[in-house]
Amino acid sequence: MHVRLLYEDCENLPRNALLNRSEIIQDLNLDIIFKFMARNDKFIYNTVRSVITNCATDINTVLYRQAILTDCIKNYNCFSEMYEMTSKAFEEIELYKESVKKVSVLKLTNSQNVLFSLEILGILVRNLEKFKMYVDSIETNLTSPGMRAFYDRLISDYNYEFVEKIKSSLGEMNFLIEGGEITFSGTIGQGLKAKDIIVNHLKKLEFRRRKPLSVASIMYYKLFKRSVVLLDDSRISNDVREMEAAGLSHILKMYQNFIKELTTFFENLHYQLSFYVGAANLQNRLTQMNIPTSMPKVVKREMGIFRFRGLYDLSMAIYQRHRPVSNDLDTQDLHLFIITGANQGGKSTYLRSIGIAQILMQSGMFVPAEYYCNCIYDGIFTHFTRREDTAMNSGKLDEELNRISRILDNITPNSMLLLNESFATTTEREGSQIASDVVNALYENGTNVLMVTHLFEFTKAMYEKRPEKSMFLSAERLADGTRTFRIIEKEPERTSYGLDLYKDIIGEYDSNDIAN
Amino acid sequence: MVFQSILGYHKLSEIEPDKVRMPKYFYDLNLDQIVQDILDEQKVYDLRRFYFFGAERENDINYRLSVLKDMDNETIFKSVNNFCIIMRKSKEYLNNINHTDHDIQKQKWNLDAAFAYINNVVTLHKELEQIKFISEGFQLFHQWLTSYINSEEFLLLQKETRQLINQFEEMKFHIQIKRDKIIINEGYLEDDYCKQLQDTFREESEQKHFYQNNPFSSVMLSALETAILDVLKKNYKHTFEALDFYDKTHHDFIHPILETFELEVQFYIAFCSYRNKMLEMNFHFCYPQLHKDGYLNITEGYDLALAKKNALLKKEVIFNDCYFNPGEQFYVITGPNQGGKTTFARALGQIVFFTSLGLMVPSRSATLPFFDGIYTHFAVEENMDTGAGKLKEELLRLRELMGSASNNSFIIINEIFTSATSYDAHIMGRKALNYFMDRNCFGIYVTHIYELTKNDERIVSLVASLLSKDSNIRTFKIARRPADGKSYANTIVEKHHMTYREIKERIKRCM
Repeated sequence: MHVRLLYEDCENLPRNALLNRSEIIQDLNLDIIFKFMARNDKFIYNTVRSVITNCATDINTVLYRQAILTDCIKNYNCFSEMYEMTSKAFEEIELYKESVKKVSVLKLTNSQNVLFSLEILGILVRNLEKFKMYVDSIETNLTSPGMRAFYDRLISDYNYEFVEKIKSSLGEMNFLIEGGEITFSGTIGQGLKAKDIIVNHLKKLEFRRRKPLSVASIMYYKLFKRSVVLLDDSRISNDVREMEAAGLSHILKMYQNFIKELTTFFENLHYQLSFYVGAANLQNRLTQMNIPTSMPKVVKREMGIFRFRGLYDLSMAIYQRHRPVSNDLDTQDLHLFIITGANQGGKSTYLRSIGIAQILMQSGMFVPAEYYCNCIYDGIFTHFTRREDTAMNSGKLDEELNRISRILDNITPNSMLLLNESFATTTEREGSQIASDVVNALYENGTNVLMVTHLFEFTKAMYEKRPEKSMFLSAERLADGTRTFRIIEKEPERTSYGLDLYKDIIGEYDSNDIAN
Repeated sequence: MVFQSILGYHKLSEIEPDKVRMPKYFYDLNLDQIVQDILDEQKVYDLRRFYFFGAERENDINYRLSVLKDMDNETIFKSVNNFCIIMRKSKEYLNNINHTDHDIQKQKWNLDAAFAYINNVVTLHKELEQIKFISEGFQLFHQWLTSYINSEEFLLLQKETRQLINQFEEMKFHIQIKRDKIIINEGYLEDDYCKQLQDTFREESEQKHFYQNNPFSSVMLSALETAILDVLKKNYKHTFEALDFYDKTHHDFIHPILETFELEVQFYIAFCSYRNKMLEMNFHFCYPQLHKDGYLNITEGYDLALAKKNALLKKEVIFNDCYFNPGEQFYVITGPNQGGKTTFARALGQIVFFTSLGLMVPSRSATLPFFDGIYTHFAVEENMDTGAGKLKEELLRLRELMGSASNNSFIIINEIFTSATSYDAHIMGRKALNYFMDRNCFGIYVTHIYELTKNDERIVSLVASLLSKDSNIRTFKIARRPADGKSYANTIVEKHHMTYREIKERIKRCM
């Protein structure tokens, strides 16, 4: 049965939003968020990591999940109970598997294998019944279309008759294992080998103690009735056992398909519920710390709205355990944001807060802001220059451009790109030239680019040109040098006040240093 | 004309097995990798000799090229390939005879092999009948096949085999397994337990649930199968008598012409499979044209081995054009290191090689003379001898090469005499070039001595360059122009295709 709590019409999409996965996790500090959501549950950790880095690209999916998540936050106990039930089903299976492993170190024989699968099926069916019963008891609390549809499918696909029928066929199989009678049919194939073999039927052997055959009847069978073969010859009797075993494992295949289906159902359910439980965990913990969140408003790209209020860097909030400095923005039809200004002025944090909000929104979650409104992109990419990247040699530039080039392989006009101090691996002149080519080309193609940069030649040229759909932002620095860590609209300046920082940390610089 | 071989007008001459070795020049031209890739396409056959030696006669090249054109017809390829697959099956059945001690089973394997063979031949003939062949090779083969299947010998085999097989197909049994005995009877019961189970699980299928793996997978009969056979022998007495009689009259039915055809046609099958993989990677091939007057013209030639490697690494592949006007015989290539000189030499060498096999070549178009041999002289890098030792080794190899090249060979010499002084290298190079050109050989001479390009009309100067002068785009192209010894710097930006224009193109492409 389909679970479909993440997507309305499938369990998983092969093509989600494109992003540079491993880099984006590092650039946006996502791992600290995943851990916070998981609350030491490794399964939840893996789920949120995978769902969030495979975020959706269509509005419907985002709205679909928002509704379910709202359900989940409202009925947190029900959801976590359902999640626990699926966890327990798997624990029970694991426990049984372990116990089998302990008993038989050797490879299971065919009939043991049948027994094993039947037991697993039994566990699954029992847990299914339990789960159904629980959902039945709480179903009135569920209001989102996703949960309603799930409930309807659950009661129709796994209805009472069906479960009963499976339970009774499970019973039938048991006498097989105790030793019943099997009939096979076959034809003669190439090289006189038996072929086209099918199992005709199984019969229970009546428990009647029988006398051993008399010598006379043995003689009779051996001499006259060739069609009856006594299993007193070990070769034949081995063959017969093999044939029987093959028949059993053949029948088993029929069960295995269903075991697989039911296992997949539980796996999907477990996985998908864990995402919502993880998201609700995050919400609960933020509420406890008095940090506000909101369900974002999704609009179409054509509307051109990009607007937020009270947006903060979630990873920093989790780290500091209180709400960090937040920013507001209200733009219409802009898709190039060039951010300059003081070092340690909150530029990277700003970029990160937007990246996190966008990726959480596209995962169907709430966002770390009082209000957030933007469109859905089909790709979100980050390029944050790291300390080890700033050495100035052509090998580093080569590597950096290689990284950006890989982004360019995947980026589309409807993507968001966050550039943080890119093109710093070469001289300012060269870096500016490259930046200008890259940013202008992306701008003209419509990609939404947010760029933190110190490349003055580049920003100066861009500011002179001031493309129609661009905005220049800067880290706020008061006249006395104080940083507010807010990002405001401002003309780019020549210095990024690194000297200030130098002065703060190192002290007055020597005039010789400048001369050098 | 009667069909002899699908590889030429005559039967291939015998070669002693220990002489079937990869020629030395294979390693220099990357042909070792390419040919190995091709051989790997049809591992069950030993095709090495077909690939290690070129066609024996000039007219066989065109014979093969047109057979290859026919093989490119999907219907023909499929028919021929299926034919070979079933031939193998049939031979496997025959081979099973040696793996069993059961006499009746031996007889049945022989019958099954014959049945597979007959159907196979008839099917092939029927399928080929619909086709208008381009090649003389297939026309001759089909003529021969027609006369074979209408021969009395074949018709008799066909009739008797089919009759007997029909009788065996009637044989059916069922077994009840009880605790201490089993009961075997003839006849097939239709009840299907798995089908009933399936209904419970609401799966839809009309098929019968045969065992996916027969528990008795060995070629020999198991004890249980023997017991089944004992019962059936009584019930189907006449069938087994007929089998005994059949076995006495029909043996060694596979015709030697078809056996050879099955092997030889793999030459084309392996090549086509290899080529199709390269085509999927967007590399091109063409049918070469032989030209009598020493005229050569190649467009967009490339090194197959490097192309495959680059495609895996997503690196660009360089295509080169080149031509010889009448009277021109040798390319002398100069230019910076890593500029694509060796790659160019290999590409052209591969084109000459595949032409000599009568196969398609890695280029957009190719016209070239017939060469009866390829000889190469590449620097041995791992040999870190002193200068004198290295030069000596090179000269020894050059002497050997001069001895074996004929009047009509293709010569590739790569970076020879690098340990000699320029003055010496110039003089020695000139001498070597004259030696080969005087003997009417064509070839390529890669060197850093650019003076060698001058003062001889038979020599064409080619220059490798990282960047072309005007467009500032990285090329690796080999251009026909006077050697000047200059090279151009490139920038990393261009390497990553990150100029403004390229980025715009790249993003557009993703939409």
